[in-house]
Amino acid sequence: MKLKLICFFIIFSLIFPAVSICTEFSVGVSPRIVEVGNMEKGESRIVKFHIVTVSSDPLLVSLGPVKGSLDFFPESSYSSLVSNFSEEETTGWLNFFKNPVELIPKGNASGAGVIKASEEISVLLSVPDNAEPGYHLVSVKPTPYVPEGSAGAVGAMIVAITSVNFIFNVEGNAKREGFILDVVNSDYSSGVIKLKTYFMNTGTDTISVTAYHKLYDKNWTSLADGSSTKEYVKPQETKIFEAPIMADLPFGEYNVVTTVDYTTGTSQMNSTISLERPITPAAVAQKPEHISSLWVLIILIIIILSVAIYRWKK
Amino acid sequence: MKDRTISVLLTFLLAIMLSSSIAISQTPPAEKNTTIDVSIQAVAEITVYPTTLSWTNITPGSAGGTKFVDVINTGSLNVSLLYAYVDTLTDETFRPYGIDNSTNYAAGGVITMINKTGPDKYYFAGRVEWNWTEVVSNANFTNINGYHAVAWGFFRNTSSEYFWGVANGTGGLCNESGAVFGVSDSIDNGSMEARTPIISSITRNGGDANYSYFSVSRSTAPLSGYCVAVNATCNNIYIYKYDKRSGFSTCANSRYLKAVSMTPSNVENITLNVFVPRGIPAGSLTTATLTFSAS
Repeated sequence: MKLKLICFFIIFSLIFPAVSICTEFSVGVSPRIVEVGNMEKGESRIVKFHIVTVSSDPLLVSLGPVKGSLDFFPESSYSSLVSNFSEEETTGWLNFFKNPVELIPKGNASGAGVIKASEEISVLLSVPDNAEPGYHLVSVKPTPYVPEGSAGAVGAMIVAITSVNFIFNVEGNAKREGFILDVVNSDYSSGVIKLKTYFMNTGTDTISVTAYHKLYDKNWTSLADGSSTKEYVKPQETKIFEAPIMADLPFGEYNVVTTVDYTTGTSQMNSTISLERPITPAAVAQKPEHISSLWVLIILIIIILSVAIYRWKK
Repeated sequence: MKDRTISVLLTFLLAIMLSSSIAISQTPPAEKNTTIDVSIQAVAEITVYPTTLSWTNITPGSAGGTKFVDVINTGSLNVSLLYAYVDTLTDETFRPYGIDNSTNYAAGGVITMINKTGPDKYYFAGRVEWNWTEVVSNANFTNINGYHAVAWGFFRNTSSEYFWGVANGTGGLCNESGAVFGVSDSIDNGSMEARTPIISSITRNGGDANYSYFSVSRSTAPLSGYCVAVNATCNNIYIYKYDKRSGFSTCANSRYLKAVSMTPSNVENITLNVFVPRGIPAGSLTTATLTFSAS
């Protein structure tokens, strides 16, 4: 009997490997970058890639498009393309034939060895008729569905994801450029100077822009600095960038050096602003009363004249 | 007879050995060349070990202890732009304060991480702080430079709490241009000094349909180096550092855990801890999903 039990245990452990307690929520891609090539406006093309996993358990994977970022270029071999890169929104250009997708472990492993499941994904990339010229980047992020579970009093399930990047060029003259039209001081109160920068995109591609200001006195002594929010500016669009500068300063004139940075270039302007005492609220409130009295008088005169003319004719 | 048999056998054996050696010495070994091609499939993949993390029996107002994860490039291609985020915003969807239920709190909201190659400081992976619905005594919003504070609350960092305030933007919402966020530098002790949020060196970097994104650069602020996303409805703030998802990457302080390339087999060590504030009910928090993303 004892011998039979020993034999059973040996056979069991040989046939069934150690059971995995935790599913590995890890999804990778193959390849990492898909060079789609040149595309024309209005063209659609099917792009294919694989999603892979080391998980021994089936995974349900949701595919989500992600707008391409300038962060992609510095560390890649595509860094020279950034000068002709359009930052227009591209996530709506992707259509998935199947989403979400199941990754089911199969008996035969792929060439990478530890990969347990692989699935080919087809995506329809459609370039709109009004697409901007130049290089475009859009990523697909494969996110596995993680069921609700318990991992202790304070616990976390770990997920590992690698995205695939599609890079393609829309034919045409791609140009990233712009310049500052003007810098004005819109308000100064409670120690905050509000500067407005008027920037025009004179290129053919959407660019992300931030305006930076440095404030100096008349002797060019540095006093304060500030920056605007980062905004996207489309071709031929003029955008106003507002930037608050925290500086409690006496009224008078000050020098401002404004630099607008759009990553592949900058535009700079030196200007002089004047900090003035704001108009008091009481003076503003009186003006409407004066105007309304005048209108009442005009209306009375018209009524009197009308009555007089009527009686005279009669 | 016996001796004769042995002799015969030995002689026979010797003959076989001699003939074999002669055959070996006379016949040159055959040579055959075979070309072997090995082609590695181009796979971009990261794997993180361990696959789950757990802290137990943590005293409120203290840290839970360090744990380590390894992010490994298990593919055959370089990957880069590694960042991480938690699902606190989807796990903690309403104000949990004043309710005796620990599952209303997301575990992701207490997880902190430190990157071996980054700044020597633990940053929250993604913490949500909700606004206080009552008036806070001694709250002073004059340092928000004349802006009207529409929401306020406390940033709770284990045993210390710091008072913050938010003013809405030009259209009345906190995701719009003109929205302001400030936080006190002093640990809250109920005094007016400690309950005066300061907006100096806190910059609004942008906004979208859901949030305004602020970067905190003031070195004396408890949220120095952090990003703070203020909800459009002004009722909560999301505090993070290494979240580079669309929108959250707008913050100038948002960083990658590793921006440069990870070659195959490269390992990035991340140290995690949990900073549990005071006032959380006993029990288990809603389990978090901690996602590491590369491309």
